Amino acid sequence: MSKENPIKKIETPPSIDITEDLGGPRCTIEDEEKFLNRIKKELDSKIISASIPRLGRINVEVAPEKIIEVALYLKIQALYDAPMSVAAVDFPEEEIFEIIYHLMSYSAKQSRSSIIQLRTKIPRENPHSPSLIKIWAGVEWHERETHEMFGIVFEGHPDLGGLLLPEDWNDIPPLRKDYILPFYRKEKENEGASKEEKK
Amino acid sequence: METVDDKNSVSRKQKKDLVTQPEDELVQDTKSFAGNAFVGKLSDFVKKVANVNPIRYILNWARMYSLWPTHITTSCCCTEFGAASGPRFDMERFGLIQAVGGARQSDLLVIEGTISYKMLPRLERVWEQMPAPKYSIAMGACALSGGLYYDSYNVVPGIDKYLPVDVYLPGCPPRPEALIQSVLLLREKIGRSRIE
Repeated sequence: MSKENPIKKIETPPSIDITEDLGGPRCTIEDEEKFLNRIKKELDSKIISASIPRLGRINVEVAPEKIIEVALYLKIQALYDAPMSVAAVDFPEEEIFEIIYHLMSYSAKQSRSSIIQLRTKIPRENPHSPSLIKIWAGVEWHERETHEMFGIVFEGHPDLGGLLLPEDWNDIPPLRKDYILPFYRKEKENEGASKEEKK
Repeated sequence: METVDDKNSVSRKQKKDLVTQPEDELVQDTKSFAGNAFVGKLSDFVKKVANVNPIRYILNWARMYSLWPTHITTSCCCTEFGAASGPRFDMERFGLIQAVGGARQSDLLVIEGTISYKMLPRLERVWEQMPAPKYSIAMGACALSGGLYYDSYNVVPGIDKYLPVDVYLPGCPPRPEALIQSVLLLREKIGRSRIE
């Protein structure tokens, strides 16, 4: 870890609920826009983009180097304390993996119906991303599963061992786009052979 | 290629011999068991006696009227199993006791649902823990053929490659009546079976 360890800041959380001034038990689209503008203002240099795709969703895209700072802000200032899932999307043509953290809040004053999608894009070859396990402990198994299914290495994760696949798995991670199911492997090979013959 | 074929044919022949020989011996032995009753091992003698028709009938009758099930639950078929042992369908009428014992105390394994390759060694372990007269019911499409996940990378396409299955129970999930029918079929099979 470098000298500036952002995780250490957790020990003295300011815990200001920035959703407090929005009012009302459920969010309207205006409330969400207010919230989004505030995020944009305070995280100006750290995020790549932020938007509202539809009511109840907020998209925040960050670079992988900045993800810990942004996650800390979202946890401490916006009280997004529950990570619901960690997903990854494989884009083989653009040669990137997109990791998506879905975040939800239980302790914000305004019980939020909106879910934050914290997205980050990492290169497909030798994929590394900082683990958020010290910010949200609940992310442990999700990151393990993402590691198992996509081969993404989460730096700082204590145990990225096998979770769902059999212990003697020796193949590429199965949810990558270039993984062919064993059931269809012969078919695909035959198709490839026939295509070559045609050429 | 020819050599491989030859090897295969030889091994098949050998296997045939292995299979046929003991059956013939058994048939001969059962015909004349009275003569050499006290010559062979005691367990052989007990087997021979147990396979005499009225004794065999009584033993099988005792077995088929109190099947102690253990169930491996990996997906939704377990709700149907639970419903079947509830008061509405009441499996105990048909000699299937509610699943209260562990694997070491039971003689029927009901395999409910999708078996993944990670789960398979555990399933085999449970099967090996069970004492000798043991039977198995493969319940639901997933246990029979992989079901919805027939082409998955992690789901066993049919567990009958790995375990001996007595009754196949199709359905997704099968109704409790179907489970009861499968138990009746199993009882029929037990009633007709030899004692080993």
